[in-house]
Amino acid sequence: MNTALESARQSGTSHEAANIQVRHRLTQASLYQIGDINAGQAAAVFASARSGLGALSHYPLSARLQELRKVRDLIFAEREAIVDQLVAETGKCRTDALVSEIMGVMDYCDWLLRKAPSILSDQKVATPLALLGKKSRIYHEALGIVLIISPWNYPFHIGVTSIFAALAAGNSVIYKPSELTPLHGLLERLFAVSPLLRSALQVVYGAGETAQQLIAQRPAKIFFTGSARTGKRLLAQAAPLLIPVELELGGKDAMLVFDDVNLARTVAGCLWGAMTNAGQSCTSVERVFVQRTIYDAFVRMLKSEAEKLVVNAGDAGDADIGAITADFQWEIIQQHIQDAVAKGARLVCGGESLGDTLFLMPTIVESVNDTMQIQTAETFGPVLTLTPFDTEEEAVQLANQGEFGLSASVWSKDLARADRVARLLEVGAVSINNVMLTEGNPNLPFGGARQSGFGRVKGAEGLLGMTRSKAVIIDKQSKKIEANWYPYTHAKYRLFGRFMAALFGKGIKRWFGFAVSGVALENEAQKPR
Amino acid sequence: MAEIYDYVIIGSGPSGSVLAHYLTQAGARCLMLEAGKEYAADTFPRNEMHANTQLMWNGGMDASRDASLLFLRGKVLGGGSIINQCLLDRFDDDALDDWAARSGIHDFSTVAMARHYDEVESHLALHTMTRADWNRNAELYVDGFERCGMQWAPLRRGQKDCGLGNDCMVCLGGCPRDSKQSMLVTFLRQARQQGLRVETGFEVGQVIHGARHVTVFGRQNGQSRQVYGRKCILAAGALGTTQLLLNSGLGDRLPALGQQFNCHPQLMNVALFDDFVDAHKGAFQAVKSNDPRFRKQGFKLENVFAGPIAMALLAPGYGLAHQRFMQQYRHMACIEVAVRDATPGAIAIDAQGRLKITKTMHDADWQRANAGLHAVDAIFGVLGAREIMKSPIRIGLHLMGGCVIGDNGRHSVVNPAFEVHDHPNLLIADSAIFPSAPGINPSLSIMALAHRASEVWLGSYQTPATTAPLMAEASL
Ligand SMILES: Cc1cc2nc3c(=O)[nH]c(=O)nc-3n(C[C@H](O)[C@H](O)[C@H](O)COP(=O)(O)OP(=O)(O)OC[C@H]3O[C@@H](n4cnc5c(N)ncnc54)[C@H](O)[C@@H]3O)c2cc1C
Repeated sequence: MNTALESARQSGTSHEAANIQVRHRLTQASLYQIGDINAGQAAAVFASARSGLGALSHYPLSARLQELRKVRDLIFAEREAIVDQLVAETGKCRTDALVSEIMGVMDYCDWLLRKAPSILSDQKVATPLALLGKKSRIYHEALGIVLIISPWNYPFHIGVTSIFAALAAGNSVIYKPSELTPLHGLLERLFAVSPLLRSALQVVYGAGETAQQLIAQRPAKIFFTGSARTGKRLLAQAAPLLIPVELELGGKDAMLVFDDVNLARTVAGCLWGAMTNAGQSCTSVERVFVQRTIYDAFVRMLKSEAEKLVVNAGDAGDADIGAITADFQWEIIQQHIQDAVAKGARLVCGGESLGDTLFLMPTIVESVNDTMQIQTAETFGPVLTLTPFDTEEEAVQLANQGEFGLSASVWSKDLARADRVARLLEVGAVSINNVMLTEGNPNLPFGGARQSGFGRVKGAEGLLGMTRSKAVIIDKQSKKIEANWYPYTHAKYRLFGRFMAALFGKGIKRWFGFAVSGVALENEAQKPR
Repeated sequence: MAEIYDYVIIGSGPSGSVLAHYLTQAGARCLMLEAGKEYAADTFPRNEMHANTQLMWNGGMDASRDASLLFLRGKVLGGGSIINQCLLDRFDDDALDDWAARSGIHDFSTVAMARHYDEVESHLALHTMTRADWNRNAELYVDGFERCGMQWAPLRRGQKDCGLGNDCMVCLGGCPRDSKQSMLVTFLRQARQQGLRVETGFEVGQVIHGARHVTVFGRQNGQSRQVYGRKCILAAGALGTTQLLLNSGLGDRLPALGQQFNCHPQLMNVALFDDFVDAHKGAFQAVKSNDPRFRKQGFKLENVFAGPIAMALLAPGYGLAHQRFMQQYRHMACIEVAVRDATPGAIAIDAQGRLKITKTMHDADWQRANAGLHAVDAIFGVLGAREIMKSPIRIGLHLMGGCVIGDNGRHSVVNPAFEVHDHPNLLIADSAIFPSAPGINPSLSIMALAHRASEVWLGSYQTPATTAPLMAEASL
């Protein structure tokens, strides 16, 4: 994945206002312009976020969720118009826009509305015996002002789900969408149904420069989804400011196919996993490893099915593979293919653009090795590589190669084997006999291992990541002096020895000692030196 | 780079071929897809049966749902122009005025269309039949007309050096002499010389419209295939084009899709004479009715005949009776009533995407047909026919409508610029756009409309840039 900072660097964004031209991805018609902000503007954004902040976190969770429901309902009602805007700015096909972006958001939001009350409300926790009589609590408090930086591949889904979670938790959000797909005015319009939420959300448009200005204002936490390269740069800027960062970075996800699978279903899953959103998903299938015994049959069927995919954005939802959204990504994809072919890889199909358009034909490459970028770097296009393997160990070893570890899928009728393999894969998510499906369940956390980032979004874990937990313990008012308070005396020291032997020692009799020494200690504590 | 054509043209009949010519002439890169096979003068099937099975959809037997009408349409490179009679008539004011009224397009007039007719006719060898071309069937026709005081006229046909006496009926199965002015020897040949690419055996199943290009999905030799065009022209004929749009899921968005299907139902009437008529010899058709009263009443009388298989259909039955009927083949004269439809039918598809054609002759149609049948009775009567047999079946050869043209999106499918409403990259200028039944042979007008459409499109046509994506300017 690639982002704001990165593309800004590539094109050497200047500091002038409105210097970024956003175009209709398919027609190249000019849509509108946005510009980077400067330090003063960033400070102003934070100032107004601060004024909105108190408001939201002081409302009870139930009220915040009630407000979120209004936005959810509006998204649902406006879905076709949102799809229009998504298709215009990304060039993706309508079904990708509707299903992955809108349906994904609806799913997550309904989960949030159902689950947030139990996840975010104050939590009672047990208090150990030694602290008898006290009560312990965890309060999941808002972090404050959080900065969410979202990428261009799922500009609506990633943006809105993060914003929803942050707002549910009571944060004030500064949201910077990718300058490639800003969806100008959309979130402002959708959130306007809830003035309360709207006051807690600042949408800031711009490229890398803007991101840097916002980070310099010290948000309470940064949530970044994008490329590993940009993620590292962002982390470097955040480190001296001690700003915590969650990074959802790229992947080179593997699909492992054993020879006991239903071929047709597996081929269909493989194609969808590799080509959905034109391959511009951080968890899309990029490397496919197939057991040698079925390798040839798999490749044959894959090729013939790939050739049926309709390359078009379509305007009625009946096209399969949409356009490549980012120009620099287009170049990376082409370069990966050229590099692979130059080093001896074989194109099973595709490998070429559709005329002079921004669509790439579905591409399948075999005879690849790790000297090729196509096998090691994130391609992020409708491209997959095929490699045969013989044994389970070899499959795991192949899949674990490389620096990424986002997600993977394992395909086998033998669920014990699939589970064994799943445990050995160094990734953040595994779908067994399915593909890219963990993202489909909002109960599950989402995030990677290794260079694919850290931190989790989605699931209880992800929602809690939007909070700071405050530990609270409650004691009664009394005249009682605690045993571990001053004065330290010989007698107390000895009694603590016995008390500990009772607490941590062995044997059933120790509980008697616990009671005796406990009472003795408490009495001793009330005495002056 | 996967090829993306300026125009993908589906169908190679009069519409597709004429468009291919004018578009390639202007330098556009065009690909033509045709479901049928390619034949040439020396490879056309040699008998009526094979002509039906090899050159037509479903063996020549698309039927209406109630099976009261049979529709014939070509499935061969050249489309209907390979299997038709190539009678080439211009529309009159009566036909075009009705179109103008229905479509809101004022250029539907004999004056405005003349330029287009002139242009396409200049590419065709046209022959007006003379007395020398008449066979006995034609002589009887004229004799009967004159005795009944009805007006007739010679036919105009697209043919070139047809040889002595026009002596073959097989040209309905593909002209073996390259004489009939089918697309194969006229517009299609020119278009190919200008760089048109043609793929046969390619049956398109779906078109997927996008902002910048159209994906055309189909099957060729059992393989799924797709091709891409900036624009896609549907020239698959009234049934083919309508079916394709329906199968592409556009029914919801185009309320008029499938409506206004007309077919000029024809009823063949055979009269038996004591003398040999030998209607199968010589020019198959030479004269036509030209009586203003007929035009008013909504029918035409065709001087026509048919091969033995088609004739056999007119006398269903077995054994001796049928044998006797067929034995009299040489004694048969024939006049056909062609009805100008009063009640349009509708084209739909079933769950499998197959055609479901509703077309019934209603009272108004029967009034027209009966007026024609009376005239035929009168003619054969004065000629002293031994027996007159009315057709038990009706056939439709001029399949029209389903995607009619007009300025109103609720009542039409195609706008005056020949674009499907709200789908600017889908273009149609074939028999599907006919707003009503003209009551006149349609193919010359299909060609004229195609010429007009090419002019409209080329007016805005610009050579597309062949450079790679707009990389530089969009990298911000
Ligand atoms: C026996 C007969 C005699 C006739 N005589 C005359 C006459 O004398 N004068 C006259 O003017 N008219 C005559 N007609 C009618 C005339 O031929 C048609 O009106 C005319 O051919 C229609 O032209 P078109 O371009 O709209 O479609 P067509 O000529 O029908 O061409 C459509 C083409 O598209 C192809 N196609 C359809 N669906 C698909 C698909 N899904 N994928 C790929 N290809 C597809 C078909 O195979 C066909 O080749 C006659 C017709 C018949 C059958």
